[in-house]
Parts: sequence; structure tokens; C-alpha cells
Amino acid sequence: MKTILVVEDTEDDVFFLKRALKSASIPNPVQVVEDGQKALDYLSGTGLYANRTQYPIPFLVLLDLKLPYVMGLDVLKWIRSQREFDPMIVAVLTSSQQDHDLTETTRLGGNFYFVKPPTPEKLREMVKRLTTQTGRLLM
Amino acid sequence: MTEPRVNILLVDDEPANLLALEAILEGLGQNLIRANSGTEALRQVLDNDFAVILLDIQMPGLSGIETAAAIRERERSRHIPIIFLTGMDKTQETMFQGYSAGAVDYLVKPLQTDVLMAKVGVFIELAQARQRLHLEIEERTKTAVEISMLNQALADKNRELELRSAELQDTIQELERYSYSISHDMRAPLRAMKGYSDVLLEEAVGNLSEEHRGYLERISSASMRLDRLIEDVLSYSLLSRSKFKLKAVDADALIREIIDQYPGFQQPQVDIRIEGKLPVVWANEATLTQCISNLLGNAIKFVPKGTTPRIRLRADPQDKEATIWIEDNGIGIAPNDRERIFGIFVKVHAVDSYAGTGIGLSIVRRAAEKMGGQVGVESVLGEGSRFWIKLKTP
Repeated sequence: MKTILVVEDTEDDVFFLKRALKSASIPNPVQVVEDGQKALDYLSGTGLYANRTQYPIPFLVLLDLKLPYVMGLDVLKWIRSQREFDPMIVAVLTSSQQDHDLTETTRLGGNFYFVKPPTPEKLREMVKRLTTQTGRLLM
Repeated sequence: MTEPRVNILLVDDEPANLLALEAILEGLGQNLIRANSGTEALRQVLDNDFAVILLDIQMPGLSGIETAAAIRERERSRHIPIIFLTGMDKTQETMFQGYSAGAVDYLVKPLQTDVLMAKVGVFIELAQARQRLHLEIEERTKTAVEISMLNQALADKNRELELRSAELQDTIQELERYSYSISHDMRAPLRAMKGYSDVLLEEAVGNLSEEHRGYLERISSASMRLDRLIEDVLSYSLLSRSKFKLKAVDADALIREIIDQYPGFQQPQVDIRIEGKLPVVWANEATLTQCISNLLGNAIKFVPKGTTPRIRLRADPQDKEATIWIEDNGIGIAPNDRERIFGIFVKVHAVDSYAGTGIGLSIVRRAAEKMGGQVGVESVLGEGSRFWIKLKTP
């Protein structure tokens, strides 16, 4: 089953996200990295994340915008600069509807965003929207 | 203005002649200063300024001609007119010498009173005119210096103010960024509080007493309240900082969409109707949406218990602007509160009766002003309110 990569530095938010994924019956394996640099390392398969069997390329990245070291938008920009990741879906998590980075998210090629906390309803909505958007079955 | 007295220098080695001169000139009312030799005359010229010098030519020691030449040589005394006094024995030669030494005139002894007085009088007037001019120049220079000093002080003050204003602007911006960032970061722990209490409410319900369950619900709702407060503060601060371009917005379509999209604005809980057609206004879509949602939200919230909110919207177009009225059947607003409610953090109800952050209407006002418009309210306590928002129209 395809992997979901969660890029989130707040432990509590990771907990709620995993819980919401479970409640929304999204069974895919979840990998978590805590900062932007680790996200880049994971995606490019370097350092700690060299083993692709253990750390497979995700089909969906749930990306927090406020991250240590490398900010969420920079991670998004980097993903969109890699041809091989073209089909990768990036959903951005933000703590406010009014986050000024939200407009940037769309411009930089983010597929979806939702405002924290993640709830099963929001995740189901996301799956539904992304399925129509990409024209393929997501999970 | 009384003319200042001027000095007249009388130079003669014969005391009798000096006395005669004094007797004639006394009537002119000026200061008469005597010198009985060329040397004494030079000393006087060193210390004083004179309107005219009456100078005897024939003197022992320094002669009149020599004295005149010495007076001419000094820069400070060069301008003083000299009238030579001479006996009948004057020759062409002495006259020539006298003129080249700087004489302006000759008078031949014995002196004729009226001629002497007339000639001296001319020089007195000249000296007085010069003094007046001098005083005036001094006065004007002084004024000019004062003005220039004042200008300088003004310029200094201005620069200081500009600097202070720039500093203040910086501080305000920094504070706003800071408060935005803080407010933003406060939401993470808040989400955790709410999240974990909800988890407990869902999963541990069987192990909890009714009382403890109530506490958890309070934690949950308190964190929601704080979250809404933070969201409102963020809106307000963002609105203050943001710059946006106005464009022609179809208020009718926009407001119908707001009502359609939000279940809380629909039948049967609420009866909202737009009467007629609302105009196209100069606005920013997101900001106008914020205004209208807040006003509709208030109209729905502030009704007496058990009353179905009934809201009517209509427009009143004028020249180059339009007023949109939002009329409700709510509890109304007391006259004292009608202006106050637009201030930030102002709540006019007890916390328990109508929950809110006290920021909503300040957002509406700030938003309207940002779009070049105004907001206000008319109300009858107990019968409802009519909020209005006035915007420019294309």
C-alpha cells in the first residue's frame, strides 16, 4: 500500500493527524519527519532515509507550513522542481485560514490545504476532492 | 521718530573762534565737540563718529591740511565730510591742497551765520539719514537672522519628528508582526488542549462521572473560545497591515453567495431576504465578505431567546456611493452603545448571555474604512437594529 509522508514538528498534531486518518478509514502506512530538512532527506533518499524499502517514496505529503530549518513552502517548491515527483500530491496544513502563505501554496503547486486540527471529515473531504482533481483513486 | 543727535567736531587753535562757532551752531541741537589742535582732532576722530568736521587750516603743529589728510587715510573716518575754515588770504594753491586732502567745502572767515548753519545742516541731515539707514539695516539683519534661526529650529524639529515617526512606524510594524506570530503560535497548544479533551470525551466516557465529563466539556469549549478570539485578533491585525486594490464587486451576487454557502444563514433557523437588487460597489471581495458575514452573524446572534432572526437587506444608491442596509429584529442597541460597539474588545452584554470576542464590529469598521467606506447603526432598543455600510460605486 502506498505511503503517506507527514511533515510536522508538533508531536500533538502528529497524534491528532494519525488519529483522524484512522477514523477516516485511511489505512495507508504513515511516515513522519519532524522538520523541513528531514523531509528533503527523506524524499531524496539520502542519509538516514537511504533505504527505499523502509522509506518508500510517498504518494501523498501532508505538509505543515511552519517548520524548523526548512520552511514548508520551500519543501513544496523543492518537490515541484523534481520531475520524478510530478504525480506526488501535496496537501498543506495550516493553523489559520488567514495564513498569508496560503496563497503561495496554490501558486507553488500545492494540491490542497486544510486548517488544523485535522478531523476525519476534513480528511474525507480531501480524499474526495483529490480523487476528482487527479482523476485516479487515491487510497 | 525723533532724530538721533549727531556729533560735530570743531577744530581751531583760537579759543575765541571755537566759542564763536559754538555760539552759531548751538541752535542746531547737536553735540558740539571741540578740539584745539590737529592732534586733538585726530584723537577725537579715533573715538567718535562725526557728521561733519569744521577744520581751521591755519594751526600751529599739525596744520588743517595735514590733519585732513590723516583723517582721510583712516578707513573708518574717510567718509566724514570736512569743511575748511580759512582766512581771507587763501590762495588757489591752498584750496587745491585742501580739496585733494578731502575737503568738501570752504568757508571764509569771518563766518556768515546763515551760510554756516545751512551748510552744516545739510551734513547733519545726511548723517542722520545714514544713521537711520544703518539702524534699519541692522534691524532687518537681526530679523533675518532670527527668521533663519527659527527656520533652522523648525527644520531640526521636523527632521526629529520624521525620524520619530519612522521609528514609531517600525515599532508598530514589529509589534504587529510579533503579535501575529504569537497569536499564531498560541494556537498549537490550544489545539492540543481541545484535541485531547475531545479524545477523552469520545473514548473515556464510560469511566467518567457526569461532573468530570462536564469539566472536560468546559476545557473543550474554553479552548474553542480562545481559538476564536485569536482568529479574530489575527483578522484584525492582518486587516490593519494588508494593502489591497479595490475593484468593482457585485454586492448582490457576493451576498447571495455568502448566504447560500453558510447553513447558519438559511431557512428555517433564519429568515434572510434581500429586497430589490444590491449594487456594484468598490470593494475587495474577501474583505467585503468578512464585513457582511460579521454583520449577518451579529444579526442572528443578538435576538431575544426563542425569536427567529429576521433580516432584510436593501440598498440605497446615491451619487457615486451606495448604502447597504442590514435590518434585524434583534435586541437593539442602547443609544450610549451605538458608537462604542465599533471599538475593539467592546462587549455590551454579560458574558453568559451572548458569547463573542468583542472584535467582530471593529473588524467590520476597519474593513469598511480600508475600502474607503463607512459603517454605522440606527437602532431602537428592544425592536432591532439597522446597520449600514456605505461604499463607493463605479
